[in-house]
Amino acid sequence: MTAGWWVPVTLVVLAALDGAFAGFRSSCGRTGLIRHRREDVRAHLRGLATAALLLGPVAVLVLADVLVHPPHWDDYLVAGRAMLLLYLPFGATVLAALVAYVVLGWRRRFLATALILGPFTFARPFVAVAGLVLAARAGAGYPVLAAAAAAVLAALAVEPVLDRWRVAAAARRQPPALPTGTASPR
Amino acid sequence: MTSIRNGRETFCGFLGALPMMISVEELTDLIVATDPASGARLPVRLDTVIAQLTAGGQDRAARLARRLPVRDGVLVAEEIDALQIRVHCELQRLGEELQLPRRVAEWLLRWRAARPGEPLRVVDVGCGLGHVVRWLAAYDALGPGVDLVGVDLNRALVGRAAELAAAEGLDCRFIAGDALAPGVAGDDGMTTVVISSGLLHHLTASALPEFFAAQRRLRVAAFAHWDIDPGPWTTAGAWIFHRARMREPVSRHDGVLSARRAHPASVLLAAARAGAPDYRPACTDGPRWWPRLSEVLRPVTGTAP
Ligand SMILES: C[S@@+](CC[C@H](N)C(=O)[O-])C[C@H]1O[C@@H](n2cnc3c(N)ncnc32)[C@H](O)[C@@H]1O
Repeated sequence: MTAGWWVPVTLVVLAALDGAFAGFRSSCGRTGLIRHRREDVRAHLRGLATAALLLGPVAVLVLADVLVHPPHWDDYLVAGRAMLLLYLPFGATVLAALVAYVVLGWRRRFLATALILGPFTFARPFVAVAGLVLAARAGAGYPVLAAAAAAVLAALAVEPVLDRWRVAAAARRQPPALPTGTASPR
Repeated sequence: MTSIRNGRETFCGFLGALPMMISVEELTDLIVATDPASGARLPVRLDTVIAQLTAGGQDRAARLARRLPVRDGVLVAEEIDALQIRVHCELQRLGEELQLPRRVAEWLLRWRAARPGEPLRVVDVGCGLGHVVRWLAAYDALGPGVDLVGVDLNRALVGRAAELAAAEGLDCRFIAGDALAPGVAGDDGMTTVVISSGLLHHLTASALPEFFAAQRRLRVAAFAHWDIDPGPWTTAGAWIFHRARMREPVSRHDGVLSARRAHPASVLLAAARAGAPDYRPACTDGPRWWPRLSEVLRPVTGTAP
């Protein structure tokens, strides 16, 4: 059962990075302040924590299932490997773009955003679901697919959950200290 | 000076900046009305907004407008202000990604290099939340002796801009009013450069010459107005970027429309030559079919003779 540990570890690392970035996106363009580095760091951590909170129960269930039914381990590995076939290059490209963003001078920095970061944020939900399709095609059974789907849903929920949290927090502040709403008022 | 509210332009719906098929409006232009003379807020009726959008075939925009808060048929001013502030906060994020303030600083520094030590006033017309002005102040980007002023017709936006500047202890100021009306941004003879970002596409092509003429009448030392270099790549990029990064439906709608409404360099140059011929205007676009990723925003510039 020890073989293939790299699969869940890689998935967890990718989910953690994805959560942190979702937290960052949710905080962007909220306050209008010029200096927001500290808030950016906090936003990444908030995203990470939210991802842990949402994905944690799925991970616990999978772990429990594997402990009770050790043969299921291989089913999860099949699904995980299939998903990583897509998620790994996707994640690696995003990380490469982030490195490029940091390394390129300010004049060219936008290239990383325009070519990779923006389009990849747009494609992210589709890629997440495509990973599930690959898992299904690799022959993963229904219980494993259900766990994978729950994990994908949880990962995709991080940003909207944080958005809602911000709207609720802003509504509690009367009058709002800084503009933090999300949806157009109805 | 023509008020830039309610800019109306005709464009082809497909890929933008092709001639004359539908008329398109940005929601943020339609939902706020200010009396240009007094600066007073005017009530905006929802049915007027919807009629205007429907007439232009903007059904999606009309649907968005129907979700806006209304009291007795009139848009609720405080809620619209809050929405405008949120939209401009998101817009600021786009400006950050495009490195807009750095680009402005670079141009101003180059321009100023020929006039070292001379006191300078930089006036940002239609500053919104004053991102550029506040950034220049935060990083002391232009050095000493520069008076940084943001002017916008929208009181809610300049009010928030001033609050944000105060919150970060920035040395810049904000004025509500028509930046191109005499005396609004100061007429003490100080060397003044007028800048703007994302403003020109809110003006119709026919209003552009007057925009430049107003700056000539104010005897500004130079102008530099950054706006989107239009083209199919820009429109597609704007769509993807706004889908991926913007939360407000209004931001998404207006962001893509901005790219479609942007004027090509030829139109801007012709207008600047008509309105301020002695300023030797300059503006260049890339080839239309080749994405010009690093120059999505480019300025039309001119320097007094
Ligand atoms: C799309 S916003 C651009 C905001 C800002 N420059 C930015 O990049 O975030 C255009 C702004 O121009 C303002 N405006 C238009 N004509 C103006 C004028 N003559 N004087 C001052 N503000 C003006 C409008 O009120 C609006 O807020």
